[in-house]
Amino acid sequence: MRKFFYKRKLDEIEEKARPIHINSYRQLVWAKFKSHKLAVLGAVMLVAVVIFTLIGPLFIDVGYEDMDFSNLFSPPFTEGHLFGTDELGHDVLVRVMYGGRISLFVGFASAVITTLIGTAVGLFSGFYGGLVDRFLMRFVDVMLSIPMFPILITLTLVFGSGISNIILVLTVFGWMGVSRLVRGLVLSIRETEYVMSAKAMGVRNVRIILRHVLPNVVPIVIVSATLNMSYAILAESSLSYLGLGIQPPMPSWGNMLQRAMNYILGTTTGVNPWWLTVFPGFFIFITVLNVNFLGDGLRDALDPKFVSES
Amino acid sequence: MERILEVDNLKISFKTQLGRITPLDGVSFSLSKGETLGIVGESGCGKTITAFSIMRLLPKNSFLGEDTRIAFRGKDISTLGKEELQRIRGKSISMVFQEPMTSLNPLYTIGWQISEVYRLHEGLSEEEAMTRSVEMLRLVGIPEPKKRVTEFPHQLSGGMRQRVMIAMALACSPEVLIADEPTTALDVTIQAQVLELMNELKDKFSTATIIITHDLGVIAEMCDRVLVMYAGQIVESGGIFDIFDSPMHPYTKGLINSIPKIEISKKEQRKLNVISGYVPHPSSFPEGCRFRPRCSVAFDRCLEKPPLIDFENGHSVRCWLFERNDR
Repeated sequence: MRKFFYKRKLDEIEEKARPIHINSYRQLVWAKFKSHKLAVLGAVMLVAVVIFTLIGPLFIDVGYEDMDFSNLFSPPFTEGHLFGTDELGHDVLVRVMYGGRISLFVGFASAVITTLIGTAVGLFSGFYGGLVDRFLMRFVDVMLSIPMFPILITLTLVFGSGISNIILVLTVFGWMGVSRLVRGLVLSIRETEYVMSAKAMGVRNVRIILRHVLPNVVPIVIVSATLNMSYAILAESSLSYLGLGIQPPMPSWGNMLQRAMNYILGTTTGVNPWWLTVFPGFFIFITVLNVNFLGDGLRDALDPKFVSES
Repeated sequence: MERILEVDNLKISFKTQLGRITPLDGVSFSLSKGETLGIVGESGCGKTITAFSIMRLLPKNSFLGEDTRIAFRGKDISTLGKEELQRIRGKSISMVFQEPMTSLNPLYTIGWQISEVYRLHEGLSEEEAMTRSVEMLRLVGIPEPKKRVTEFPHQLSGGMRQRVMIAMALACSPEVLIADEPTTALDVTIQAQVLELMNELKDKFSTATIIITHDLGVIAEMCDRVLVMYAGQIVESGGIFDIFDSPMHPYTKGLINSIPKIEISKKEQRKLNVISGYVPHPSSFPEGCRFRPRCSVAFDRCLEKPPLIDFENGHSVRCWLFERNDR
């Protein structure tokens, strides 16, 4: 009887202790990502925000330019204006949806492009070193020393404002940080024994950079990309303020906030329209937060050595 | 015997802030098929640089001497272009590094890393390469190789990782294997296992091996011939028995004397014999014989550069004590 009991117990233990069979890096990453609760939450929330901005307007028969003159500065939940209206009677809910499309696109596109350029420059500069490195890093210094806003104003005059110009400006002035970060990492990775050993195996330089060095910087680059995305969403709003950003009546979360700032202390009629700042602000907040959750989760999942405590 | 690798007058200089330094000067040796050559010496005497220069892994600020010739199968590889060099590295000449803990890329499975060698040099498909990797892991004595190929370096112990490194190095059955302190980072029992494995595989693949170490025990276990290096020069070379039974150079004698012995009876012998002083930095090698400042039997003649003096059986020594007057 006792023997049987122990036998069963042992089977149970074995059943529990049996390792998950992981055959590839991809499966490992996926398994670890799934077990990272915040990251999954971040991904779900981001998808929700994207769906909200893309599909939301289909259900509401109001455009972002449509004005309801009988309802200026009306608070949330009045006459079908779920998020209230602004000084021109625009529906805030609709504008948050349309604005989200633009803000998310600007943020995502400029984060991706910045990261790609920065990583490429950093990899090249750090791996080859010498003259290449010196030239590229001095160029980075030059770019960093150029004050951004005068250039922006000039660019607006020359090219006019628009989504593509915002992305262009944010990337042209945004890739240097990533490239310095990546270069620093590459400098240390290039001296590791596994890179040396790959060389001794006859692996070509290009392949060493792409297959041995790059994957080792990816976890950190991903985190910096998520931070860049938050930065871009916020930077777009300050650009709007200068007139280079998205111009009204087209909404973006940034320019909605900028315009709401005029009424932050209350309007002349004595209304305090908090809903003008709270809703776009809230969406910027959850987007940035969840992008960072997602980035953290990705970083941990991509590092095979990292085992979560849970 | 067929000579696979001939290194002739190997001289390497570096351009540094201290000016031009030459840590390796006039090193010549050759390696025959199936032979094991040991290179022994203290830290900083040029062993690793010798190995790296054969693989051309030295940093960009290094220069090879003008009359240096490194011939692999009669062809000078010191002037080869990138493409040709990459074809030789890992396929004909491969290398095992000192640190098994960091020599594997932490982001890839063991299997991926071994099969990379097959994919590069033999153009195998992913599946074939993986099958061969499993075979190779079995050969180096890793239990459950099918399971191990899917594991990451951090899941393996140091000894296991060194076995994986050996598997990678021997994957394409290279003709020359250079092992740079292959067992230094391992504990003694694992050391013995790895050495045994290397001995076994060396015979199986008839690979000519260069073992770089500062452990005379490893040399005694593995090698047919020994080069004793000091301050960037060969000070003595010869067959394993010649070196251990009748060392000639004071440095070699010192090295052998400083092996700790267990059977010590007399009290005054209990202290470990050492060679006093340090290896000089390459920027300030002494004039004449480079071992002179540390040598207990140095005399006037040592202020001149000693030549390498040859004896029978290929035993040679760089010391004025053995100058023969018949020349």
